[in-house]
Amino acid sequence: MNRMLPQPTGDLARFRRSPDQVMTLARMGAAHPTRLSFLRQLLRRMESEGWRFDRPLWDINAKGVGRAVYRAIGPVRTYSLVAFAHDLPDEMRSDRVIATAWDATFALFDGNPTREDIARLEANVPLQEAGRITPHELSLSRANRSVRLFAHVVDRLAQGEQPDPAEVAAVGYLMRTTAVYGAGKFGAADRSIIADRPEMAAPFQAEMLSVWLTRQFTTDLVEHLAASRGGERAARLDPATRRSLGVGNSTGLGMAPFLVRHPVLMNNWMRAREEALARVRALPTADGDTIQSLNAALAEARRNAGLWQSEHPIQVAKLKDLDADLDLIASKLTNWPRTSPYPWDDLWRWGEVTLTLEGQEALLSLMLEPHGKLIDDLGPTMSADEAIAARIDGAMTVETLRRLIREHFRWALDIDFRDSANDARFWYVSEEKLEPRLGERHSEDGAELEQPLCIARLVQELHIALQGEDGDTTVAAFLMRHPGQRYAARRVQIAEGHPFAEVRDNLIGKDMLPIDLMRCKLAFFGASRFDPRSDKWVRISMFQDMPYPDEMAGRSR
Amino acid sequence: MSLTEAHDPTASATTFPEHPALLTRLSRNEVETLCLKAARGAGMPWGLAEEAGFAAGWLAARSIDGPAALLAHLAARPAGGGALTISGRIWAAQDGRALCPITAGASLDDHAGLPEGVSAAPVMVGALRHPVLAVPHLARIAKAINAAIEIGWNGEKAIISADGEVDPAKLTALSKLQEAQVVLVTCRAEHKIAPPAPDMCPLSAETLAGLNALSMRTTVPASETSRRGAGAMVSDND
Repeated sequence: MNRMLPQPTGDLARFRRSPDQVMTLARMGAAHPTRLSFLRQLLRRMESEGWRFDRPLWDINAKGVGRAVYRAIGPVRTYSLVAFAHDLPDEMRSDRVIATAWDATFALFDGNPTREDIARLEANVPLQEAGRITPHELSLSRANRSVRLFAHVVDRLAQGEQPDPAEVAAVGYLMRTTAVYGAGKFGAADRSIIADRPEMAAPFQAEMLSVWLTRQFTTDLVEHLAASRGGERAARLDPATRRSLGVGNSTGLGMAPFLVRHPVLMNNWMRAREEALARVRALPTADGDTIQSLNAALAEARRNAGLWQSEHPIQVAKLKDLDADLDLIASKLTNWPRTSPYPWDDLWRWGEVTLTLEGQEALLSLMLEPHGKLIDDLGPTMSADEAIAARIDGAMTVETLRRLIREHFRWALDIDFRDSANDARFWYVSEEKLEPRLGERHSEDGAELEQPLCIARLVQELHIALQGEDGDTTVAAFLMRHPGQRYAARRVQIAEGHPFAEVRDNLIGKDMLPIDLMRCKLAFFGASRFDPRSDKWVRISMFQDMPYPDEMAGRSR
Repeated sequence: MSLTEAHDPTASATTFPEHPALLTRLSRNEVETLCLKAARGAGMPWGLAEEAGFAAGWLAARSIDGPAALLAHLAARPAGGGALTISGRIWAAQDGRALCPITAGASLDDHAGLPEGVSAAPVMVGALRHPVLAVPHLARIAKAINAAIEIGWNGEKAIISADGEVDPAKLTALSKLQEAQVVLVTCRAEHKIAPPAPDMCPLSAETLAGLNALSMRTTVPASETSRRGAGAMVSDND
């Protein structure tokens, strides 16, 4: 039956949130996954296009050592996860070791790998330092077992029993990936090679596919080990338990600067999500189906919140806020919608004055959930064709550049960096690990090697350098005399037309929490159960409660 | 081989092992990032270092060893070097020495639509170091103004098409130049040059080692405090 889709009415501008509201660290650190998240986009596409999946190679011995290949076969192209399983002694997992120690290593191959491809990958993928892949591969990743849960599940299944639900719930995954490297890392295919494929148009689709197939591998592996040990007696995972398992991920500070380094990409993520919210808020009606779907999403969110565990004080407080806010939303929905020109906007405005940031961002996710037909077209707009050095508009005048600073960087000019609390930290790259870290400017060495991540201060410096300039001077002439201002000038020009390009907060302040940046990015990936282990390090789970390849056939939603 | 911690997700940057006598094929993303860091390590401001990464990546993607040219340039680049001056149609270094091709290329790009720029009238660039490194920016200008640019040096010339492509043989000839005066002329005649099949120029062990060494100058030695703060505060062996 064809049904007319309710369309947003009038100008969306009044329903849009401002960048000043959206781009604060506190709010970004309360982000929830939505139906526009990248792993949801991947699953939707594979489902609607009827992708097929198989496992052409399973060559794993009774100790769990060997190789496997999983294929995702789309309408035009095939992608293959090539997995290598290792038998890592526990002591190698806990201490400093030579870096070849992973329980499993993976590459996502572009096409059907030959025997030679697999042999080549086997010689490279398991190596941490020396491994190199080629443009035939789209990603490289490594994973380690969750020692406790993995052993428990194999033990139980080998005895013909199911794992203890409490153990499963406490961990939530059999393996944890460390990093999933794509976009040219370690010699893999550059983004530009795959960017024009529709199935890779949304961000991080190759990486998401790799993780999703890895999840299948982890459950196959425990069942295989259980069968090797228990023989005929061994059980397989029951579907509900299996469904509740995701793939874990540990992430350190390395990920935090990503959003700052990719301003146009971040803008496009945020712009799509905010546009989706505005479209929903502008709807003139809320019909029975969407209300039912909203209530179902809320029930799922409450179930998820109940299972979401963390011991970190920051997250414990946020979870308490979330629980209370979800209760408030539930009670609000008992007498919503009332007669109103914009029922969804009413709900949103109620949330803004009633809920904590955690609850507001959860409400955003809930409100998007019933509206796939209205907003899913925004998914592919979340990519960006970002060059390493975007062209500068040299013909722009200094007066215009100053105006852009006043319009888009008022928040930056307002930070008083003479206060030592406001320039307390500095971002740097460690010589030892080549990873981004945060130093204490006033007590540690190295601030002269600061990375250009505190955009607020850099733009302030540019603003000062512009003060003595004639307004009619061109940016080209200014930069010829001030080459050191080129970086900040580029950021300011990017801000025009990309209102969500900057985190509108102080990234070197004393109380800045890197996990806020990480949570925002991970929520866009679609990660759930965000569990900080410190203010700079976090664990999450991906694809928890989502279907497996063998469950995709015949589904339509 | 260096030691690293098991389960360590923090070693997030690609490292490039140097195999003597072997060529390493980096992705364009890797070339750009490595060259950006090397340029910064050699003392370029961040914004220009980004331009250096762009230039080296553009050339490497056309099978030209831009990274080696950049390394040679950075190794001999005078401190604080390369401030530009424009007098009439002549672009030159303030200190009278040969110009930095990254500074010159970026500035020519900035001036593309202005009276001082290439689209208004021919420009002579006084001695330019490693002129091939300025070609990526000239290609960007050609695309932006939608006109071909002729680059002349030592009695030879090459055309950069309005699509921003250059004949590979000419690009190779340019890559051999250590230093030259170049003349840039916009031409309205149409030139079609097919974009090359993507084929990244592999890097020699020497180039890789040199760029790695420069890029390491942007890093800070570890302290106990920073190590402690980088990872989990609790065990991961669970």
